[in-house]
Amino acid sequence: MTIAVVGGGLAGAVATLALAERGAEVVQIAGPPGASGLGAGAFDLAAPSPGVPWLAAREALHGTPLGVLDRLALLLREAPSHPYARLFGSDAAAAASAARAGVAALSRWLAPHGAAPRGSFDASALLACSPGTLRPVDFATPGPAGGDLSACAEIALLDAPGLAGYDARFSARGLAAELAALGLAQKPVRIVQAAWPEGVLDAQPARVAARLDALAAGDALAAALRGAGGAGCVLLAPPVLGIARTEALVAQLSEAAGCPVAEVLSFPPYALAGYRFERALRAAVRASRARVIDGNVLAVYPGIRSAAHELAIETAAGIQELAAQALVLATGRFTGGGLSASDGEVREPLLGLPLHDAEGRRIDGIPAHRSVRKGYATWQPLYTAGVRVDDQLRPLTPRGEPAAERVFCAGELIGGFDPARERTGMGVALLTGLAAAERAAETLS
Amino acid sequence: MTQLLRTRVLVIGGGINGTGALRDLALRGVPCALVEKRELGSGTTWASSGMIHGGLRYLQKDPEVTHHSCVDSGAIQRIAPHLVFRIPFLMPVFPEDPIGPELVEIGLEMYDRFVPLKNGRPHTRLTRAQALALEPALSPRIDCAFTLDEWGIDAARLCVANALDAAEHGARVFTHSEAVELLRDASGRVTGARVRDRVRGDETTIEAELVLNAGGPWGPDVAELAGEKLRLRPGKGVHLVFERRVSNLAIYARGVDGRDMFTFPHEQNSMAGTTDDDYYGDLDKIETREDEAAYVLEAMERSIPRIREHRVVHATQGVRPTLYGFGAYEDELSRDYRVIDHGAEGEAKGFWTITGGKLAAYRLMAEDVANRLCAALGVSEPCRTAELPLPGGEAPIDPVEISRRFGVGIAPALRLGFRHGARAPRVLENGDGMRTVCACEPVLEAELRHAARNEGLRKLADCPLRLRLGNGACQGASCAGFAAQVLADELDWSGARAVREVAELASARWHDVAPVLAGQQVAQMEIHRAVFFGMIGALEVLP
Amino acid sequence: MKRGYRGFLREFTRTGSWRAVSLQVRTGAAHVLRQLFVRRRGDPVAQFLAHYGPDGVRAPDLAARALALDASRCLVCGICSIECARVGGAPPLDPRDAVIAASRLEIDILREGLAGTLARGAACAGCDACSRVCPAHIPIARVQDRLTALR
Repeated sequence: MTIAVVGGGLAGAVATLALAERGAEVVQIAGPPGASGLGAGAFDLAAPSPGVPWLAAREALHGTPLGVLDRLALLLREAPSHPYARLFGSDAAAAASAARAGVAALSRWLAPHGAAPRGSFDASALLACSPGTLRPVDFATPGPAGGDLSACAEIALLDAPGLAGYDARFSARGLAAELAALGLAQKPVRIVQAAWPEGVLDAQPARVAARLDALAAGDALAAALRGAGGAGCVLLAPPVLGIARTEALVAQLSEAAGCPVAEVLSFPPYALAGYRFERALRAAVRASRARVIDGNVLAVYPGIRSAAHELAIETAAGIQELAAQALVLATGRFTGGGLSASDGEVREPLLGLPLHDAEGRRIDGIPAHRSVRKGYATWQPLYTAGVRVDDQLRPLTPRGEPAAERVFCAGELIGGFDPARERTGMGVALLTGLAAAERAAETLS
Repeated sequence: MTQLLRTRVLVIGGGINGTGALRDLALRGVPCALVEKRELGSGTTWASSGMIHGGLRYLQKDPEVTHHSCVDSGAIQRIAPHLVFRIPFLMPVFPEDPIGPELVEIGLEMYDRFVPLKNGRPHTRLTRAQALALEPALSPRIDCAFTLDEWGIDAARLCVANALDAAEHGARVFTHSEAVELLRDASGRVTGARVRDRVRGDETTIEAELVLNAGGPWGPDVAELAGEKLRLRPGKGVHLVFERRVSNLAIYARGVDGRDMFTFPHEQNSMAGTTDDDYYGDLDKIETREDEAAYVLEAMERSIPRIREHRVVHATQGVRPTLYGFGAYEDELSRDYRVIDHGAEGEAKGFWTITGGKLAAYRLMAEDVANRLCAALGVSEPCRTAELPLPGGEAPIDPVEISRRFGVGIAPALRLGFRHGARAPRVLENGDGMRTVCACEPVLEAELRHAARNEGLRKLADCPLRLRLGNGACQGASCAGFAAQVLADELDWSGARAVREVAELASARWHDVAPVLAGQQVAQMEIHRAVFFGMIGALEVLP
Repeated sequence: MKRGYRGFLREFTRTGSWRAVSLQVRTGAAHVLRQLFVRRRGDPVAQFLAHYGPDGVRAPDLAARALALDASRCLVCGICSIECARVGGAPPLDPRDAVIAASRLEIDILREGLAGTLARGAACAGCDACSRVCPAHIPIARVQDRLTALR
C-alpha cells in the first residue's frame, strides 16, 4: 500500500520523512527545486502581523515583541482563509503544539546533514539582508542563523573585495541607518579586512562558496579571522560560506573570530542558503526508508472508490508508472510547477483542481493578468491563489466537496495566503506537510 | 537655497525634440539649458517603436515627406552609426488583403527610388515557399511576400547622446527637475523659469532670453505656465516586448481594423505594436490595457500563427504629441510638426513651442526651431547637427576586439558598443569593475559607474531606460540589489535611500509587467516579489 | 493577374498630390510592362541574404530557435550556476550566462563573438548537473553543447 508524495520542496520532504518514520511505504517524486530552493535562508512560521505592513510589525516587535506562538494565534483569528486556519480552526493550542512538534521533527531530520534550523519560539532573531535592512526571523538555516543583531553590542562586516552583489561598506551604511530607524541602542558597525585565502575570492559567489568547502581554504579563512570579533560582537559575512559543509565552517570561523560569524541573508541569483536547504532536505529523504524517483509527474489518474491512483512520471530514462493508494500533492505554485499559466489561463495541471484566492474568488481558467492589480505592494489575488482545502487538507471542488479520495495537499499549493508578503510559506509547508502525511497514513489503516 | 543660472535659451522637456534642439543650439555656441521633470526620453521617446523609418506610408499622400524622411534617416545614420541597426522587413500579402500584390510591389518600387538616400536595399519579391524558407514562423496562408528595410534605433540612447553632446559644448542639463513657474518681466515677456529638483527638493532659477516648450504630450501643460493654449490630439501607443528575438526580420501584421503593425527586432528582443488611440487620461500614469494587448497579439497571430508561444515580458506605453485635427481617425492624422512663436501668435513674448512630428524627423525639427530661435537671438551660426557625429559615432567599433582587449564577454561588449560606440573603450578604461551587474542585458559595472559619474544618471529606476538594466526577463530581481550598491557608492546614497530606490525600480517594473502578465512571466514575478519583499522589508516604502 | 491589382481604384483615388500621381503612373506603367515582357531572374532568397548578410541575417536555424525558445523560460534564479560550481565545473560560460546567450543565438554577431569567448578555457564537461536542477526545465546541457560546437 504505497503513498506517493509529489514534490521535493519542504512540504514534500517533511511529508515523505514523516511517512517513512511511521513505517509507511512511501515514494517521493521530486523534480527540480521550486520555491524552497530559492529561499533566503531564513523562515517564519508566522510572520510578524499577518498581512500587515512590515514596518508597523517591526515597531510592534520593538515595543511588545510577539513570540511565534502568539503570532500564530493572531493569524488564526485574523486570516480565516489561511491554511493554518483550515488546519487548526481557532485552536491556538493545537497550532502551537503542532508548531513545536514540527520544528523539532525538522531539526531531527536535518541535523545529520548540517542543516537543522535554529531559532526560538519566544523571540525573533533580527537578521541582516545585504542592503543593510533588517528582518525579524523565526528560524534560520546554519549559514545566517548566528547573525541575530538584537542583543549584540557591536556589528562587524567582513569585506570581500570583488565579490558580486556584496559590498560591506554599503551594507554597513544601510545597517547603521536601519538600527537608528528602529531606535535600537546605537551599535557601532565596522568593516573587517581579512586576508582571504589565495585564489578563493572571485566575482562569482557560487564559486567562492565551492572553494570554501575545501578544508584547507576553511582553515586559512579561520586563521585570517582569528580574533577579528570580540565580546558581544557579531561578524557578518557575505553569503558564500561553503555549499556542502556550511554548518561546520561557520562553527570553525566563529570559534576563530571569538564571536558568532553568520552570513547575511541572500537572494536569487545568489541564494546559496536556499539551495543548501533544498539539498539537505533531499539528503535527509534519501537517508530514510523512502524511495525517491527523480522526475516530474505528467499526469495523475485518480482511482475511483478504493482503486489506486495511477501516476505517469517523466524521468531521465523515460516514462515511469506508479500506483499509489494515497497521494500527497506538494507541488508548489508557479515556480515549482504546481500551478501553471503557460496556456494563457491559470490552472492546476495535475488534477485540474479549482483555484481560489484568499477572498474565495476563482482564479483558474482566467488569464493571469486579470487576477493582478496595480500597485506593487497591493494584495495580489493571483499570488494568494491555490487549491482550497478542508480541515483534512483534502482539495475541494468549487462546491466545497472533496475533489478526490485519498488525496491531500501540502505546502504553497494550498491557497489563501501570499508567501512573499506574509512570509509564512515555510511554516505552511512544514505544518501542512506533516498534517498531510498523517492524514494520508490514516486513510491506509 | 535657491540657485541662479543665466543663459540664453531654456528648453523645457528632455525628450528627443528637446535634447535635439539643445544640441543644435549648443553646437552653434548658444548658451542654453534644459530641464526635464523625469528622466531624459522617459516620455514619448522611450515608448516609441525606435525606428527612423523612411516614410513609406506617405508615398501615396506626399512623396516630399518621404524624401525628407529618407534624407534625414541617412543623416542620423551618419552621425550615430552605433545607435542604428538595419531591420529587414517582411511584408506578407494574404488572399483577403484589400490591396493586391502587384499594387504592393508598385508601391515598393516607388520606395526603391528613395532607398539610396537612407542606405537601404531595394525590395525583393518572394513566393510563399521562398518567404517560408526565410521565415518559417510565417503563416502558410500567404499569397506571397515582399521585403524591404528600415533602420532601428535606441531612441532613449539617442536622446541621451544629444544631451551629452550639448553638455560637452557647454549646455546645462537638469533631470528630475520640473519647471514650476515661468518668470516674466514687467512687460509680460517670459524671462525664464523657477525649477524644482524633485529628488533633492531644492530650487533653481533659470533666467533666459527665450524659453522653448518641448514638452511633447505635456506641451499644453507647459504652455499653460505661459498663459498660452496649445491644443494637441494625444495618441496613445503600446508595445509588447518579448523575452528574445521572435525573428531577425520585422514582420508586418494587420490589425482587425486594417491597421498595419509589426513584430520587429529591437535591441536584444522583439517588440510587437503599435496602437494609436486618442488619450484623455493622466500623462504621468499611462497604462497598457488588456484590450490593447489582445488587439496587438491577435494581429500578430495572423502573420505569425505561433506568436503566443513566445514569452512576453512586459509592455511599454506612451503618448504621441500629435497635432490637433478634428474628425479624422487617429491613424490619418498628420505627423507634421509645428514651431510656434507665442510672442507673434499669442501673448507670451519670448516663449516658443515645438510640437508634433515623429522620431525620424527630430533632427530636421530641431534644425528648424534652432534656426528660428537663433534668428530671434541674432545668432548667425549655421546648423551642424547633420555633420558632426554624436558621442560615440566618431568611428566604427569592433565588439569582438573590445571583448578580447578588455577580457569581457562578447555579449556585454556588443551591448556596450551599441550604446557608447567609439567611446566604449573609454567607459571600460575609466570605470572600474568588469563584474556583470545585469545578466539579462548584460550590463557591466563599469558602464553603470560611468553613467552615474559622467552621464547624469541619478536614479536606479532610470536604469532600464538608460542602460536597459532590469529590463530583461527578471525585471530587476537579480540585479537591483547589486546595482543599488554600485550607485550608492557612486552617488553617496544613504542605506535608506538605496532601499527606496530599489523599491521604486521594483514597483516601476511591475507597472509595465502586470497588464500583460502571462506564461512564464507569472513564475518570474513570483520570484520577483519574493526577492523584493524579502530584501526591502517595509512594504509601505513601495510606491 | 487581375487579383494582383485589386484595390487599384481605391488606392489611386486616395493619392494626395500631383507629384505622387506622377510617381505612381510612371512606376505603375513600368511595372506592368515588366510583368508582361520581362522574365524575373535570380533567386530572391539568395538576393535577400546577400542584402542583409552583413547585418547578421542568416537563413533561420530551426534547431537553434527551438533551443532558444526553451532557453527563454529562464527565471534567472542562478541555481544552475551554484550546482555547476558545487560539482566543480568551470565552463567558459557560466550556465546562467550560457542560457541567456542561447536565447539570443538568433543574433549572429553574438554567435561569432561567442566563439572567441568559448575558446578560452576548458569546455563544459557535459555532466548535466545543471539541467537536472533547472526549475524551468531548460536543457542546459544541450545549450552548452551547442555553444561548445561554436568553438
